[in-house]
Amino acid sequence: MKRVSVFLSVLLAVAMLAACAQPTPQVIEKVVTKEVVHQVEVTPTPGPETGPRTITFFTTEADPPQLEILSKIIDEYHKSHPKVFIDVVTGTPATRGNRIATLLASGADAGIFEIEPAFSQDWAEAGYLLPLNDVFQKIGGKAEYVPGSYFEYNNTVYALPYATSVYGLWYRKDLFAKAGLKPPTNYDEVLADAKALTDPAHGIYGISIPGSTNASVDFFSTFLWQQCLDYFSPQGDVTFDKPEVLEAIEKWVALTKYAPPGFENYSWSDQITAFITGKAAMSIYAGRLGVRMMDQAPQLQDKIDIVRLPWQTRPDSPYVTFGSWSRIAISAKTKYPNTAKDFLQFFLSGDRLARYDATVIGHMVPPTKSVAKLLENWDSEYARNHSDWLAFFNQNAAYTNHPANNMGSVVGCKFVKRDYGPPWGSAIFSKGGVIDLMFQQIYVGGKDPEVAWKDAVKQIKQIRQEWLAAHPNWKPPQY
Amino acid sequence: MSKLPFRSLSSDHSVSSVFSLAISDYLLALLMVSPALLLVIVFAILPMLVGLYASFFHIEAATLKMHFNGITNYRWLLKKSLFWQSLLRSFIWVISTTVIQFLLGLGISLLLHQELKGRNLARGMVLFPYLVPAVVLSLTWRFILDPTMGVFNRMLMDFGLIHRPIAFLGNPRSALIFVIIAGIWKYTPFVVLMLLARLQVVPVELEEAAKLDGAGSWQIFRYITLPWLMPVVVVTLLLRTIWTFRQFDIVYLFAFGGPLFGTTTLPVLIHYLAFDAQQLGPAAATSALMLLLLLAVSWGYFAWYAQAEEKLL
Repeated sequence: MKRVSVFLSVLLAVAMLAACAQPTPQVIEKVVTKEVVHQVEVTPTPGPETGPRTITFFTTEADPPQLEILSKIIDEYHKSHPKVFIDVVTGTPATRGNRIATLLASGADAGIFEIEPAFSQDWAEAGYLLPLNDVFQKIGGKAEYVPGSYFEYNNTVYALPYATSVYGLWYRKDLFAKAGLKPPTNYDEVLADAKALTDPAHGIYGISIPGSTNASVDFFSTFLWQQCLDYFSPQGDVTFDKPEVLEAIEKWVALTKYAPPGFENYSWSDQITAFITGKAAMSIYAGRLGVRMMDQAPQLQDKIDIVRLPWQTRPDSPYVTFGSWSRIAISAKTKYPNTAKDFLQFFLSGDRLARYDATVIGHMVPPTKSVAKLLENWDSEYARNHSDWLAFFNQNAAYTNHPANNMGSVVGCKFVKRDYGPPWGSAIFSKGGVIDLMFQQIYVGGKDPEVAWKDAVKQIKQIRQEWLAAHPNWKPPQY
Repeated sequence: MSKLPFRSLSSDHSVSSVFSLAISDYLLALLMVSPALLLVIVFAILPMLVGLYASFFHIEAATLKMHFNGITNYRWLLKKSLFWQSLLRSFIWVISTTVIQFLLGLGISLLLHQELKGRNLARGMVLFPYLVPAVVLSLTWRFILDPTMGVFNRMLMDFGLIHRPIAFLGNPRSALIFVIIAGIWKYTPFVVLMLLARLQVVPVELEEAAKLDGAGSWQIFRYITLPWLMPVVVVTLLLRTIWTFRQFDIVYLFAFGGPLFGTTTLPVLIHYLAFDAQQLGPAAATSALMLLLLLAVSWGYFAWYAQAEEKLL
């Protein structure tokens, strides 16, 4: 009996374990041909939308101030629609895709939810998403939205944005002035400035760059794009094997000579910390750096500024930065599609969205012109002191891009937003993916950049080949 | 089949006797465990079986459409050096932490078993690391070891042991070593707790008899205390092995599996495959292999436990 009970407890323990088991100023019209195994019925089956209705709202924006404002907005809606109840469900970006995919694939009513950018097209094709053209038009349509901010597929809008983050180069004005330097305007100047400002004796380094397995790809990609290069062509052919890519990698690695010790294990958050604690003269990040500086190192607020990422090495370099629009969609299977759309319109328009985006002002850059204007004149210390930063983020929101969501985003030195990521991209662009690992091998493993790059190219080709073998009916998108 | 005592007590009452006749011991036992059994089936056995089933499919991450692909996931996995490296790292992590935790835990528990001043306070304090949440522990250690702001580097530099900060978590080997140190620090109190509880019930008369027969401290420990502790030692080692093998939080939060996958153990690999690389089939296959491995290890412990019990009797 003891044997049995011990064995059962073991079995229970192991069983528990097993259970664990974008945007551009120019939007291109596209026709995409892609393998679809079977279509899910698109037509929603609306229930009576008059009685008490409960709709779930899934979000990963789970900071207390964000949830507080969201609750207030929901309360306001509830006052004018007393029979409508919105249940907020929170999650993390890491598991968002799998959680929502499970709900959608099972045919459950997923309600209103943040969409997983890399899955957008698959979900639209599978009929999981409710068309939102009417909501889009009521909010203001193309005239109101930043180009490429909303998700449109086959002339149907399926997801509407609420914010993006926009990367730029933050720099210490005081340190630059003391060294007689001006803000850098191209790569050579960044490199020279980083070298000039590095002073290990005083614990100051030129540039804070994150090199851990959850960060490199986001930052390096901006550099790659600005060299007129990309990982894939719009049709999905590997372009990362061009010799110029190696040159780009070497130039990027050269910058890290002037990064603080331990940068190879920095996440995006660690590199912000290095900057606001005075350990680095430059840092690449979005508006959150400014928010954290105001909160944790307000003495720096007159000493720092932000400029566009100055990676240009040639006159025709396109301006592209990093960022991904956070978008909201509605399940096609929702019981109350009209109510859900009505709430979404309420939430994404007027001062509601402004209040929501103001919770991390400067980092949550709004997608509509009217809300952007509202935030530039927002009644907060940050907006009063740094409306120029807010204007900077608004002006550059159209140039944000993400390698996993936009295949072949730079063609012929032009940045094009298509909202179609390489379907095999997860293992390449995710945390610990091929690109992050390539840099880790250089930073930590001491591998020669050329060898690391060749290995990465080999792996990328293999991953793509394996995916194509498993999806023989896939055809490259035609634009 | 034997019957429960209440049956005979109520045998004079016709209704009770009918009832008792209808419910055998076996059925009653089954009824009593059924709520717990149901929970185990729904939340453990079923997901485990689904996981095993999923390991034979190619799964589209976006739509969860499944295509049967036989043992392709297993073949793919067994060809990957990352899997073998993660497995090796899991063994290093499990063996080193469990063995050191046990040795430290045994020493501390024997010490705390002595009549010493402040023993009760010490017994309470020794549990402290066990109470610290894994996320707090990981973030604190990350901060302590940070090369630019951490106190550890500052201390080493102040003592003149190093001349420039070292990124301890930036090197695959040292990162794993510090994860192991943190694991030992956190879970040694559990071993202490288990062994100390057992030490409380070691028969004093046996020890006294041994002393009268001229046995020394080592002999008393070797021939009385240790055999008495053995069943608990085996259970403790079994639990620590299983828990450490599937430990995710500390290992992941320390360095997110890096650098260069230097802290990627099997659970971290499963997380990476399922949530980062979106390869759900191979992730399920890894879980299945891990399950088999744990079952084998557990069976070994189980045999050892039976042996220890027999020796004691």
